[in-house]
Amino acid sequence: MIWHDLVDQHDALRERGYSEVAKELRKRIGTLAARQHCAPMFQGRLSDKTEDKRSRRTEVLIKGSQSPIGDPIPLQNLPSVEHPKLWIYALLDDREKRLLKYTVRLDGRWAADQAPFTISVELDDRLMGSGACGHPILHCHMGVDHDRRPQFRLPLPALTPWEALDWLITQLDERHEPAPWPAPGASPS
Amino acid sequence: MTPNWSLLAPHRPVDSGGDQYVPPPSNIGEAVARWVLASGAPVLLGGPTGVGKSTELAQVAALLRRDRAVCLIQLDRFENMRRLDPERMLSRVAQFVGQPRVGAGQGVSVSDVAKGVAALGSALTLVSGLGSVAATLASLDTELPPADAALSSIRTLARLSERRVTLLIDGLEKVPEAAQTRALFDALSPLAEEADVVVVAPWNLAFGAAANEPLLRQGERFFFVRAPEMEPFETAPGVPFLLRLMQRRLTIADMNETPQDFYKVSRDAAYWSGGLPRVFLQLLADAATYALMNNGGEWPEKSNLNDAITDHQEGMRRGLLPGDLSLIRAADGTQGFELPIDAKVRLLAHGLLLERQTPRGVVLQPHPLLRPLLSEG
Amino acid sequence: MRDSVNNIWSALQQPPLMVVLYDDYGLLESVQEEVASIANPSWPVRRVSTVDEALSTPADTLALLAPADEGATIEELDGGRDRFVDRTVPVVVFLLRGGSGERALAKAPSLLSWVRSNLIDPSEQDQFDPDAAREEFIRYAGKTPEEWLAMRRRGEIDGSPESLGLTYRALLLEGSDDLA
Repeated sequence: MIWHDLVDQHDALRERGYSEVAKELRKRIGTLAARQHCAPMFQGRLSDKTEDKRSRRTEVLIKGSQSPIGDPIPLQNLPSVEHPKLWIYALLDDREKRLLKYTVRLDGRWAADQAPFTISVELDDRLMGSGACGHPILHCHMGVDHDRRPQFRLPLPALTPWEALDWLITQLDERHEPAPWPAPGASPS
Repeated sequence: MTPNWSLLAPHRPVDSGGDQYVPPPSNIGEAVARWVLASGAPVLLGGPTGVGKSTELAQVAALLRRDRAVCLIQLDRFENMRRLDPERMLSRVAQFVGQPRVGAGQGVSVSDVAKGVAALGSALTLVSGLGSVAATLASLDTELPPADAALSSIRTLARLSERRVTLLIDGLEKVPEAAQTRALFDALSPLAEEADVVVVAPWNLAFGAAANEPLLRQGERFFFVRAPEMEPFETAPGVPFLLRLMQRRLTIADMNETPQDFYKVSRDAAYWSGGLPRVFLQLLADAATYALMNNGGEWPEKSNLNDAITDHQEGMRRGLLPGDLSLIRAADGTQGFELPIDAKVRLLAHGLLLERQTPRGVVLQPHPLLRPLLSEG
Repeated sequence: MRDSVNNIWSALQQPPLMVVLYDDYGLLESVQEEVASIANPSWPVRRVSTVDEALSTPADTLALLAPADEGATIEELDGGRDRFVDRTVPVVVFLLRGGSGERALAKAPSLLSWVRSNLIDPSEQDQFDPDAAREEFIRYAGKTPEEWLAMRRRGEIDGSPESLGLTYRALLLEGSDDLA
């Protein structure tokens, strides 16, 4: 059954440690910086190994300068949106090399009509809702804002946090496309 | 206006004749240049890392340019000084000053070289000057021993430029062994008959028992580049010197153009630097990076400087061997006669101990960044 | 706020040389990858094992120098650090923490004066204090992490970015029984 298959795929997605998650996300942020989409310093703020040895959990985030919670990355040069802010969080059990939860989220306003929007990809840390169809473990929310957004959860294939980031940015700027279509006449790979 | 903080370039000495030079309170570059012009006797230049020896040497080159054919030879830009032997050093000198057999019928005439020298001006640097001269003379070959080649090239340059040659040799402070040092200085000795020789002295000569021992010949002079005085802090000459240095590098014409807090941060950085220009510039550069990273700020604040200070204190600790803190405590405020000579050389070379001029003579003091470590017990 | 990642990022902006300590040989490759992940992605990356190889890399290349003989390498860098003066991208020297290379630094004043603030020891800098973090959380949220997560389970937490951040921090700090 597709929903159970999806659960298995999402569960397999969890088999990765801090090092891989942090490095891959940093590389993506570095690429965003190289393309003038954010300040380069954010590559150095995602983050050291914030590990609570008692709970055995490790957090990945853009380290907050003034608070215990993470800071957003203000994005630039995305013509379709204004004041976009990107949040990245992940929680891992690094000893078991297990990705427990992640969120890649972008808030902003459409340049065309100033309407607010939020879009976020979330891997849940636990089973929620009534089942795998109604509340897929890895899903996307899109809506007006975090309170008024439609409570729909769009199921997603097993995307890593950095693949989710690729997807999210590419929705806003196709120059970011990590998997371009083959040129006309070329055979698809 | 937001400065380009990378211009602080703490590791880079000021180029000879460059407009970024700020005379230190001791004005030592001028003193060395005067000595060379007056006596022609060899000069040794010593001091802790990051105090500005290379910058002062470059300034001496600039000051002597009118009267001498000056060769500023930055050996350490091309050599591993720990492996440098006399032949290699003399080869570099010969290569730089200009190769022998000029006009010996190998396609380059004396006038070609003279034109090359004139085009370069009389101050050559290995980086810029050698490139031209060596390119001009690239086809030349020498089979002379390096000592003869160096001697001959000095005479050639003197003849072509119609001036006495001054060799300013940088990098020898990085030669760690006394025997190696002695061999290198012995090799330079014959050259000192033909040219003024100014060298940055190795640590063991700058600070050790042999600090004032004649090396090249009688009459030589040792100049110690000391970190400028930082106390009393409100009136110490080192503070305005360091602030001017920072302004010059960042091209800040007037500190009133900067946020008021930045003036305070700069003064604090000057205090914590112990007067060492490199440490001062490093602290500011690091604080500026922290400001950018943590606050998105364009100017460093006090908290950013505190982070930079913590980094430096950790780095300073790497220069300590077991027992060093006790030695430093014992040496604080003394002339350091009780310190084992090896430890004294090492601690002074690292800038962990600084020599300070006081009414009762020169005494040793721990670097300010070490004080928290010293008080830990 | 200082941690090894932003220290590495900061040092990468300040050529020509920096030092990163690592704990054991098994971690060397991972630490090198971590440094490369913090670097500007447009920089070419070269892994080298000798000073001469590092010198032969272009000035705008990130050279990751993991020397076989650390002590000799530090001596060589001390004697010839200025050969790197024109680099626009640093050479990163990897040294075993407490090994011959780190010990040699104490006798390498020229090198140390360049890398003093660009010497990164992740084991020293990455100290997370869960008690202090818990106190900070309570000050900030007005609740313990466990109380926060109980509200989350009851659906009482709004969807604001701030709440999202607090949820992650609470999950980091609370006991392990909440996780599926």
